Amino acid sequence: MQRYILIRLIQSVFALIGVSILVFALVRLSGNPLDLINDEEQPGLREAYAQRWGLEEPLYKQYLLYARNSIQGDFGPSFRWPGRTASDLIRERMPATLQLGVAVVLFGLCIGMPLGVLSAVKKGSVFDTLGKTVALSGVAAPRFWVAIVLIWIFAVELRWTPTSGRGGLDHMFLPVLAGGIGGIASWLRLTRSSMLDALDSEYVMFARMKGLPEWKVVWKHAFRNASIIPITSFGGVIADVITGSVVLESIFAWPGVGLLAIQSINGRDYVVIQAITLIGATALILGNLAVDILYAYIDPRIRYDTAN
Amino acid sequence: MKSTHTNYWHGVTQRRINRRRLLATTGATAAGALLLAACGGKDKADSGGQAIVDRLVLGVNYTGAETNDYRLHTGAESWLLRPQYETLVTIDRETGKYAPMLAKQWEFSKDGKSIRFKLQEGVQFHDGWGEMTAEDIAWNYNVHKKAEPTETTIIQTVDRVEVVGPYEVVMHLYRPERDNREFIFTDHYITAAIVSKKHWEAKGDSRALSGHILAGTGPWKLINREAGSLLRFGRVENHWRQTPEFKELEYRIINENSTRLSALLAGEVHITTLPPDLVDTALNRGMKQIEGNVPAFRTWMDFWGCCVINVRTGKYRHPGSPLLDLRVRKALNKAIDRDALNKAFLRGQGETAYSAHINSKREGWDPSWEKRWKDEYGYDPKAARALLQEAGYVPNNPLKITMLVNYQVGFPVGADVQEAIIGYWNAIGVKTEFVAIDRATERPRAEAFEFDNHIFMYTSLSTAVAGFRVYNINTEAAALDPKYSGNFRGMNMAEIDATYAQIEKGVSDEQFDALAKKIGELAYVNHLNIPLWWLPATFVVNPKVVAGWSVSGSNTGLWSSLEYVKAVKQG
Repeated sequence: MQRYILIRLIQSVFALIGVSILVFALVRLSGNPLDLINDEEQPGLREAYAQRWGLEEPLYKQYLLYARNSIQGDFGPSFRWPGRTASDLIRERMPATLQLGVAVVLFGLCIGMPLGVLSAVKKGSVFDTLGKTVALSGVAAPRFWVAIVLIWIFAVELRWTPTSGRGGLDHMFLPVLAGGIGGIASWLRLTRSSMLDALDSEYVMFARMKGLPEWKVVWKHAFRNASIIPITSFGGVIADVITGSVVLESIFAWPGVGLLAIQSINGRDYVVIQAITLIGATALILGNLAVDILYAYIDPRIRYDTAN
Repeated sequence: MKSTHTNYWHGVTQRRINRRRLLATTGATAAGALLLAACGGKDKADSGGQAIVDRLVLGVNYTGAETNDYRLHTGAESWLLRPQYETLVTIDRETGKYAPMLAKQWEFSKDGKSIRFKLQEGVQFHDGWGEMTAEDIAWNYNVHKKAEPTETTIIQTVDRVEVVGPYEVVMHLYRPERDNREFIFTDHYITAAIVSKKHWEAKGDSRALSGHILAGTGPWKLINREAGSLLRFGRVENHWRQTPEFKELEYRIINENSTRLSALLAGEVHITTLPPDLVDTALNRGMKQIEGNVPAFRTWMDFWGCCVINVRTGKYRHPGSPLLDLRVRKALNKAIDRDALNKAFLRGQGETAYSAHINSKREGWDPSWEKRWKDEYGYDPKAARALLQEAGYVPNNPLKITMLVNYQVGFPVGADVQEAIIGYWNAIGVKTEFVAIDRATERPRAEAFEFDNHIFMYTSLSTAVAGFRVYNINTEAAALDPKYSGNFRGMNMAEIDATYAQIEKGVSDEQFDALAKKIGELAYVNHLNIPLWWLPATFVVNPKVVAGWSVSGSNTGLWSSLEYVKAVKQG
């Protein structure tokens, strides 16, 4: 197990280096970042930035400086928010993003997974048909459209909830519903698919032959193995939670990292865009690492195969 | 939601606004209101009494700086802290002219290099930080505003402010300033805000979002802000100039247009701005539209980079550019049906811009421009085609130009309008390449004078002759800078540069008006650019909360005079 973890860690480090090079290169492909600074609006920033980030040095030196600064959490001063750094801005917005992101994931998970199990257990029944319909609709409907329609129905016509803004449960209801519908669909499809495989397996047949109650066969035996598949998608889920949903945060005026990303893109603040991209990529890599370790813990065959 | 897109390739609009019905309804409503007033019925807004809501909420679209330091805001962000502060002079809500604020009187010297201000007496800073005096004004300009601001106009323009009495100062300028004045002492720009010297001495500056904000003299005081979400101001009771009718004012940041509309209809927001295609939905649901009193934004197109004079040689950088031919520029102007585009994209609310930078309320206005418009710029594709043929552009040798398209913040239909204009030009045989650009990355190319036949749209608040200075003129001061190579933004003309140079030397008001008129006339007859429309500032309000609001709409950043919003009263 330790050898497996070490190998995965080393792989993750290489992946991180690769991502940082990619982010560094893509930004510079769009031209000299210094050209984005408006001297009239921010006098002196060009020189300060050139010095701190070595933007007049050879590229490899620039990259080393950028990597060192990034590891220390210093992504540079924002172009669009004078007097603030990219790290400050992201740190300020992160609690809002986590609040919404975690709620959306939990909502999707707590409804999608049980529905997936029900759909698989009652295969071919009206529940299964309903489940498949929900899965298809949830995946097909664009999130921004769902969000706008929900605002119109619940906030404008019925006046049950606020239209937008960050707050407590009443403010969270609509964005969680809008984001969670797609999540329910995804979890339902994944769980249904893996449950169908599990329910067809010999150990489940054996469990039934032993006379175990059906609920034990389903939840203790089949679901436990089937849940491995949905768990593998958690790496991406973690990254989504941390970087925030641009669509949800924009439409619901939720002041999180996703909204910050879109504001930075509109304001040509490449420093902040770069920071968010790097943080998101890091979250994805580390999330997948955590999932792989968990996966290996659940299924020993994985770590033996990898170690060999 | 109705779509306003029409078959615009041939300038035909399918959208009809029933103006007669609208006028009849408006007239009947006005008559009814007059009758009620005559019968002694008191308008709720006029009666004493509390506003129906305590907090007036404005839905705003904003993605800019979030700081309590007004010096870090750009001009376009002036509106954010404008409620908190006042300036020496204000822009009158009704006329757009200068009006007293912290200064009750002012006088320019003959050479235009100094201005004497007599200050109001008894004006108090917030939170007991004492009375505003000449010392505060001098310190603001001599010290506070010169420390790392984002907008550098004041640093570049104001030499020093001298105290000549407890309520009197003289502002000394580096050069005679005629067209730059509103940036240095009016509330057009927040950088002219006056803050308390005593407060600064006690607490120091704060550039952090969560830090304190320096005391001002405005009718509102910042009481709360949440990053990315809102700014909230509290009313200053018994304000020396105008006590607001609402207890609190809130800017609620909602960037998504449909969400702002929803918030307005749900009663969460009471005043907002909406794109034209959503305004109808709001009006159909009982909301009302208010227009600014003064022409605010104007939109026009410039011949970008192609027609720039090299200030070292005095010659045009691209002498072969087709856009240097007056006949070509005139043809491009005459091929556009501005009225049809106005109806199609602006709901008829745009006003034809007879000059790209000067409107009828500003110095330099020449009423003959309107009379001569039909011959000089009026829609006439046949005449446009003839001009092109005269210039040598025929079907087997068509004129080829490039339209650069980017998103205009204050004019969301800009790209659609440009696409429609390309259609007009195609109809007269011009081959126009449509290139979407990122303005930030194209600027280096423009500064390197790479463009030779490109056209670019601008939307901006008007500053009269200063508009020509920013977009078309090589000033003498700039030309002295060895790094300066020429104003790449629009077309230059030597005669216009020379006329402006006279203004820079210092002129009287009458001389300024005459010279500004001359510049405007030169631009007019030479088709220096492609003027389109003046766009009034429009706001959509909830009439159950807002009884009325008189606003100029021409202040930078749009939102101003919020203390004058009239509230619908209880009972």
